[in-house]
Amino acid sequence: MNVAILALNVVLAIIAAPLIDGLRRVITARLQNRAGPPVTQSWHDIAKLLRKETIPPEGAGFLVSVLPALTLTLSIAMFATISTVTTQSPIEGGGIVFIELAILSAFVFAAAGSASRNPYGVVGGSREVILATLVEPSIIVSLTTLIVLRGSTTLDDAPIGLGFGVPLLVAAVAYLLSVLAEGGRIPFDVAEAESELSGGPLMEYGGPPLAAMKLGLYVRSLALFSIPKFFLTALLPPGSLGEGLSVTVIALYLASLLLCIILVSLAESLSARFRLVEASRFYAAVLALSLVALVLVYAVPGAR
Amino acid sequence: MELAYLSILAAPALIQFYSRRIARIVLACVGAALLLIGVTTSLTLQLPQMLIIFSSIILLLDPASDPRVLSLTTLVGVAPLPGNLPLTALALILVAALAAKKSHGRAALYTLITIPLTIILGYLGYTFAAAPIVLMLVGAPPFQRWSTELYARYKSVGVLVALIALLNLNGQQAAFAPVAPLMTALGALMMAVGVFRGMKSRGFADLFSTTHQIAFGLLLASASLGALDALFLYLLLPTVLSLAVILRVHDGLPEKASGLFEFGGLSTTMRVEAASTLVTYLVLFTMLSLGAEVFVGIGLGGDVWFIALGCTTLVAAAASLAVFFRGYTLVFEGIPGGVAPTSGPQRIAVAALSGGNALIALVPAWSLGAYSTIGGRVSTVAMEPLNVLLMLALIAVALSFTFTLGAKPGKARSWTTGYARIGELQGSRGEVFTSWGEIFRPLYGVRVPDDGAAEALGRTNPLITLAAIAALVILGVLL
Repeated sequence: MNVAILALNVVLAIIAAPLIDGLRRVITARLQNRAGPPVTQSWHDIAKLLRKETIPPEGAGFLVSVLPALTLTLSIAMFATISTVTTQSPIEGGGIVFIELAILSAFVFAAAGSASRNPYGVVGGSREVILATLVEPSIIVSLTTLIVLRGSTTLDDAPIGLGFGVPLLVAAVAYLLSVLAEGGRIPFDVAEAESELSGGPLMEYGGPPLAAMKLGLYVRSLALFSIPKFFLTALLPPGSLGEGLSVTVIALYLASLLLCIILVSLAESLSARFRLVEASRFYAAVLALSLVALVLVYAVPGAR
Repeated sequence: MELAYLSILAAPALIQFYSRRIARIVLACVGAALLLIGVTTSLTLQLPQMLIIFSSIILLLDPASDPRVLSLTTLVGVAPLPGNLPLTALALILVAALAAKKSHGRAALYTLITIPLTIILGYLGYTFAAAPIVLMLVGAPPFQRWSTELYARYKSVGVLVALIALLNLNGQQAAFAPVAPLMTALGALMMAVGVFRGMKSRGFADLFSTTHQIAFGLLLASASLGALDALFLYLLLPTVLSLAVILRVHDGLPEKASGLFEFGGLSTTMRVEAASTLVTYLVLFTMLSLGAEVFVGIGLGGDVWFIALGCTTLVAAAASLAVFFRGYTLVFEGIPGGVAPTSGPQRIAVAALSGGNALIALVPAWSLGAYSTIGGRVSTVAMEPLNVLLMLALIAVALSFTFTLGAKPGKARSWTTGYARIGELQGSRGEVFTSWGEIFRPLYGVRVPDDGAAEALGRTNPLITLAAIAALVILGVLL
């Protein structure tokens, strides 16, 4: 376990996640011919919430106070387990731990909504759990494909010179389609019904707990958006990225983040909202695609 | 001499005729004494035997447990019987217990089919003759109905019986080698079926049997392969302890909606139970996670089936949290029936059990090291992967509590947007406000993989089933 990289990731998560969300808002606004907020808007929102007082919902127990902080810490832990701006991974076998923390943070977010005892929160939480149940299998299979191709459960940036193979491409597409549901935006949410859908779990929260939950969601998105970099670095020949912190790695990371943000913004701008049944059909197809990628790894000679 | 010591375990079964409470105390005392004697090495108890006795004592925490069946089951589990006799004896005890309660049902039916089948297979010289009986006792597909019915009557016995069957399978790997891949595949199927059923469960008995399926599915997948011995040994204790906690807490659920999973109601009612359940589900989740990590790790060596097994386990881990959430909504929707709330000492016991379980599950090497000190007979099994996920999750929980304690609410009076019942919201706001059942309609429509097989088996006359399976086996031998 590399504590220095872990600490670097923790700091990066807290600083960069709101900025990345701000960037997404700007790109979405530009795609919709709007001026949009400044890139730092999400930061200002968090700062404003942190200055406000905490007002707990009536009759709520101690978990209403604990779960928002837990959502944030689990999201940060999730981001901290992978290599971001360095080629080294903070922990061995981080790939599986990353997947499990992604699952756990989604669940804790939903539980936080339910803990508020508000039916909107309960329904929103239930919806979150169902969406997570639908989305996670395709994320799991596409990431497992990446793990098999890289030959290690550790998510680091060691280039392995895989070349541009069909299994890697299919797995990358399946992964990108999977993360579209992340953040609860269109096509999985609609602004006119925010509080009844993905915003339900946030309904009873305000002040610092709401800031923690929002920051947790931003960090979770950032962590999931950080994964495509590993698909890219798998293509590069061994030794091409050097060791440790390097400009090339940072440039590659930023490029992959930007790609993800543009894709999510495009989906948000160009598509209509899915009903839950439609979402389940969509993710069944994405799961099938990710399974095809995994099968291709073993079926295509020389894919590994 | 050893058998004489162990036969004292039968005493609680006799004492139960006089008093159920005294039978429970005697069973606990006899178990503790046997463990103590085992540690001081005057009794040659092996690790599996000690684990069975220990589990038996822990399962006594469930007030609904039957000390009579529990003591006989423990005795059969630890007695040095040759070959597959322990499993056959266990099956017979369960048939007798079910018959005594006049509740034969499908559970007894399965047992009656499986016992002669095992005898036929044994007579024909199959070394893995006990495979069907192992699958039945563990509750693997298509025997899921068996486990559901068994848990309706003997939950704690069901856990113990499954544990004994798995230890038997693990101990006789050579005999079971021809069916090892089948066992692993059925273990994966068991997990998948468990999460499907758990997400659709309509009551706590069903929810518990599905949690059992998920946990024991993982154990079944790892029990029959030598490469997974370390994982199997590590998973055993946390799994049994987790099921014991869930068992105890589910039985203590109050009838009112301010129950265990209704998080908002915890400030006044069941804090200990809720915290224990959360920790327990977290432990189970990390057990599955670690299992997946080991499977994928082995799969990277080139075995594609382990990759598939790892993916299935990961998906089961993800869905297991949805199963827990389903438990929460069960309370929100109104749980049918209820039992007496937990007493003070039982709360302390449940809390201690959950804490101990988390500690044991945290560091596999530590827990296996602890086993090795018992009697000095069990060598430490190398277990490379530390349970990193559980460690990170527990650190996150501790940090969250610290942050929360540091932040004081700004107002003494709390505020709310106002509550309405789900039904009212559904009526006034349309499809957005739906109960879990309606939201989950796409999944409710999906048939669990082994539903059809289990139903067909349940409808068929047991004699016809037995004759058909026996004919197939004989045909296989002749060809």
